[in-house]
Amino acid sequence: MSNREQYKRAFQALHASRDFSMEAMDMNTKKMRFNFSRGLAVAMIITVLLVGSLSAAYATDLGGFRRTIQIWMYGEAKDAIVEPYTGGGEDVDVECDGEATMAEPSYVVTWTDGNGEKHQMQGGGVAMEADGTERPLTMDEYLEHLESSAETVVEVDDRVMLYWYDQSVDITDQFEDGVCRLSLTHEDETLYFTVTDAGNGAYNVSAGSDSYVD
Amino acid sequence: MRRTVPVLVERWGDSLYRAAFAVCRNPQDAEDVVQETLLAYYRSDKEFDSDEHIRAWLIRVAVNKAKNATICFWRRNRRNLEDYVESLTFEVDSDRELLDTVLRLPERYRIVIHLFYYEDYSITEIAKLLDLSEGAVKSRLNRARKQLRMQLTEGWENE
Repeated sequence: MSNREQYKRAFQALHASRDFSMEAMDMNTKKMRFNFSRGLAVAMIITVLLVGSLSAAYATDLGGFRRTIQIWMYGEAKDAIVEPYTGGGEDVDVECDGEATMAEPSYVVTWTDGNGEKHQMQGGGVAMEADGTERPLTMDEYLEHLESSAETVVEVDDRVMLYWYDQSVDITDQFEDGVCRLSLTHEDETLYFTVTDAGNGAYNVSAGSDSYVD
Repeated sequence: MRRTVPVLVERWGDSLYRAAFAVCRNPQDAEDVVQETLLAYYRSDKEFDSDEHIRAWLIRVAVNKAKNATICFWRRNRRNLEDYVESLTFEVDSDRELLDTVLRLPERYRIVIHLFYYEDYSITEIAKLLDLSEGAVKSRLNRARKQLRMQLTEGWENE
């Protein structure tokens, strides 16, 4: 028996106990409304908790709202602290996450380089709900984004450097018509990178697992 | 094209429940997710190209709602996962261990492995569904398989 067949057989033991028929949905309209309003209420409570806790906790500790993670920065693994953005913070260099789509970042990532210098990266984004409304990314979603974004392209001393996990490659002279393509392997994973010069020192990076993504 | 909610329930109700459960690991939350997913469809004016388009939309909505459910603070009081898995009836005893092992994987692995092995989606399709790069999907799939191979006493074949 294949893995897939075995997997399907195991999950077929799961059955919803609730009746999802149209009649049941009509009968449960009140309950559904309750569910939605409960969801909204929780969202508001979480927001209040965040704001309330942050204003009091910033001088001490952010408790459950602060996470320590490992990120790859310029070819080196760094312990970093992720916390909600409060608009304040310490006087540090700020590097904006190019993929953040919110006018104001939601989270701040802080790490220290080999020289003991502290750096910050601000990020965030929005998620689209099924009904088309937008909401800020949760911290878990943002962490997932960080984890899946191990590649970075930056200009260092007039050289264009691609970093991916512990690898750093000078790609300055590999651009043709503003596009550079190269493949790198990390452990058992090979990615095909396409780096596009977007001007003003910005670069767009896309990665494919089987071929270059254009 | 549109399908009526009863048709959705008949065709994909259990699949949605299983996908939601694979993410949130809680039967009540998974049922809420299915109900809210169907309601979102019912309230939506969206037109679909095909049944496959509808299925993909439902799964994407259900996975997102299940992920949201995992951050709700009242979940800790819900029914214990081990008790629930213990109450299930399996065709073969080793399936219980497989389900239990999958549910203990990190969430980012569970989603990918479920869409691949249960829903038969390709890496490219999963990447589109979850807004991830194909590399990220492939990497998570490989890591999940590696963990299953290491943890399952009945084995998980290399592929």
